Amino acid sequence: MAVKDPRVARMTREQRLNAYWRENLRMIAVLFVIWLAAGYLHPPFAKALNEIRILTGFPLGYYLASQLSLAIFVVLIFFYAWWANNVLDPKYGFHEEESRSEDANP
Amino acid sequence: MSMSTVNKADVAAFSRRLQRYYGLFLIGLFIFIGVMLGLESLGLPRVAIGYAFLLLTLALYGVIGVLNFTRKLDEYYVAGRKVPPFFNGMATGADWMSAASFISMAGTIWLLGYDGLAYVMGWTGGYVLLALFFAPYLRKFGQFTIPDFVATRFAEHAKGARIVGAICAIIVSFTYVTAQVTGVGIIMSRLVGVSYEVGVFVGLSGVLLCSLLGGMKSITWTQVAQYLILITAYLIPVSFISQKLTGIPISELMYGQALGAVTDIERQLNLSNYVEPFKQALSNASWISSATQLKAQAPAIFGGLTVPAPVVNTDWRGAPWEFLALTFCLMAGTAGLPHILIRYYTVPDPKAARVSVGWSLFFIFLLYFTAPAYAAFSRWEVLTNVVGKPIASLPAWVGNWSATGLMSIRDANGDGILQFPELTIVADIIVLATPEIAGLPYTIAALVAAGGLAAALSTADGLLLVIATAVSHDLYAKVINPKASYGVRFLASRVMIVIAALLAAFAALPRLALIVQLVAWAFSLAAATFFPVVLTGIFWRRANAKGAIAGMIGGLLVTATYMFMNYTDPRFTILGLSHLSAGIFGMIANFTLQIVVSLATKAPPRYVQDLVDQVRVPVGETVIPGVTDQPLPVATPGK
Repeated sequence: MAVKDPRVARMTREQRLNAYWRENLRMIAVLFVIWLAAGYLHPPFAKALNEIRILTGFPLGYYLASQLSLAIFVVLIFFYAWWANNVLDPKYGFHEEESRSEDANP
Repeated sequence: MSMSTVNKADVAAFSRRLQRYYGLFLIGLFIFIGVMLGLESLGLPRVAIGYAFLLLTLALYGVIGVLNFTRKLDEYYVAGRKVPPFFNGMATGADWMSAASFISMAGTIWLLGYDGLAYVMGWTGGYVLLALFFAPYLRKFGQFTIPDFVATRFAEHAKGARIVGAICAIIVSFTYVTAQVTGVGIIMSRLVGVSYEVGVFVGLSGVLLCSLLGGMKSITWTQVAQYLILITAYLIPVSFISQKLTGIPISELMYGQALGAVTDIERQLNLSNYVEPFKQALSNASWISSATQLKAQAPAIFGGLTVPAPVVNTDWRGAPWEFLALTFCLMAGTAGLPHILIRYYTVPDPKAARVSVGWSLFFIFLLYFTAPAYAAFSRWEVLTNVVGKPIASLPAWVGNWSATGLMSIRDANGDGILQFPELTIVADIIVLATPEIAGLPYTIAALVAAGGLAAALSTADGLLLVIATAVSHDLYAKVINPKASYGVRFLASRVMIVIAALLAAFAALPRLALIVQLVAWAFSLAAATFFPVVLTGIFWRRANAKGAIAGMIGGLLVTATYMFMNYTDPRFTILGLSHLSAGIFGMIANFTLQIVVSLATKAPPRYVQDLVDQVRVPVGETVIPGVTDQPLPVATPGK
């Protein structure tokens, strides 16, 4: 298992799994909060935000609900996929197939 | 199937081959459109153009179906688990975008203004939940269906959990498929002028041709083609109308100009503001027309029904709760719809599942990002060239579409001038009439109808497979007759697809007014049943079978009750929430019941908790092997 972080390399499989899951949950929580804000923070203020016009004449409240929130959703998912596949998994050695012997570890 | 059996080089080669095929297909599609445009200018009649689009697309779906005939169970249920993430994204896009998204959503935004954006955000934001909470873990989990997941994760009462899960899957999917079949009938009658009833059955035969032979495998590859057709059909007309009205064909950017102009005109005419949020009142109009229809069509059963007096509840106008709750129900429902969840069983591994959700939302985003542009441009056009004009000299498209019944004009004050309140439109008209409003040839209108048909058929494909699988795999092969041979299972699944399709057709034939509510109801039901159970199944080790079963049943009952109460009498409401967002109460009930019942009863056995650990890691053996139905390696006590 090619793990760069010496701290992780010393862990048992169970410790590794727990640390992996905790770090994963932290990122999920951060992205979930951004998701909440992108979807639910602006609509209650849409009426006031609509007084502001942007780009070709979009009322801001309408723009947030019809375009910006959607774009944020797309970016959030691709970011999470990139982070999980290229940062999180390799850090804990879950980026390539585990051999059977390791799977059988307690 | 072990994930290590999927060879990376094979996947890459397969992906390149697919790119070539679908690239050629897209070129062929444009050539076909060009040829039809040429023939139309030479005088080819409209009905011939309509038939050309109809027959060619249906034949294409049929050919893909036949080419993907399969006798392998994992190909039939999960397309052999080798769909590259990018193509699974396109297939999910087609699976996802239904007749409601393609034909009705832009019109809904036209009618509701800002409030219609709940659908735009709700039907996209759910993919974030799917990506963060579900997709990679379900893929790691393996097997075929969502009830498979429920039954294995809640193994103490595997049968009960599976049966409840299967019934929820059937209710949710059947609600949804009825709306698709209605869409198929409407589009078929638009495209080639057959009656609605004939349209329903001809369209459904297209679905059957495809899904009967190759199951998920042929559905997947058909859906990719259907996505390409529907997105082409959706993006072309709106670019032309943007070009016509603003001089720049980038509709998504330029409709800001339309919104500005619309708001200014509305201020002059003293109309309600299009972009102002939370204008909706609760009413029982849909229930009144449905009750009247039921009474007239089936007096034997519904003769005793009393049609209620109209009730309008405006107490909660201006409050954001309904908008927020509806958005949330649509999002959670998205992440809980079985026909979408199973699409992430078809990619090679959990890492691919993560990426594939991104592609799914990207391809969906292309349409949802554009829908408000349709609404804004046609509203601008109507307010400048239709409203305030003498009724005798309205644009030609108004007359043509009035004849279809999708819009009507009534000179209430008899002054010969059309005022805004004298114009009534049905939501479906906005997308369908845009080619004509933009002055495009009929070929483009036929393309739009073919795109709508692709959207409705692709969604119906996925839904019928879920229903058939829930009955043949979850109820029959896993509960009633576990010794059933593969041959019998295949036969059962194929027979069920036909039965489900016929039932959906008969449910769609009366064209009840409540059909348009069905899609939103399906989301509320999914949000109240599957979403909470799959979430706790992965993220809370302590959740047990009794809790999950109680949660699903409670969620279903609470949602259905609130829906019925508010739909029939809008004076019954909590915080102004309508029947459309009833799922939020069901979801709360589901979570509460799960937590209370789980904590009050025994923790799940050790081997189930180990299973949860195993699901959380993106590498290693799939939890439940897919190819064989051997006893589950992890679901045996004492490991």
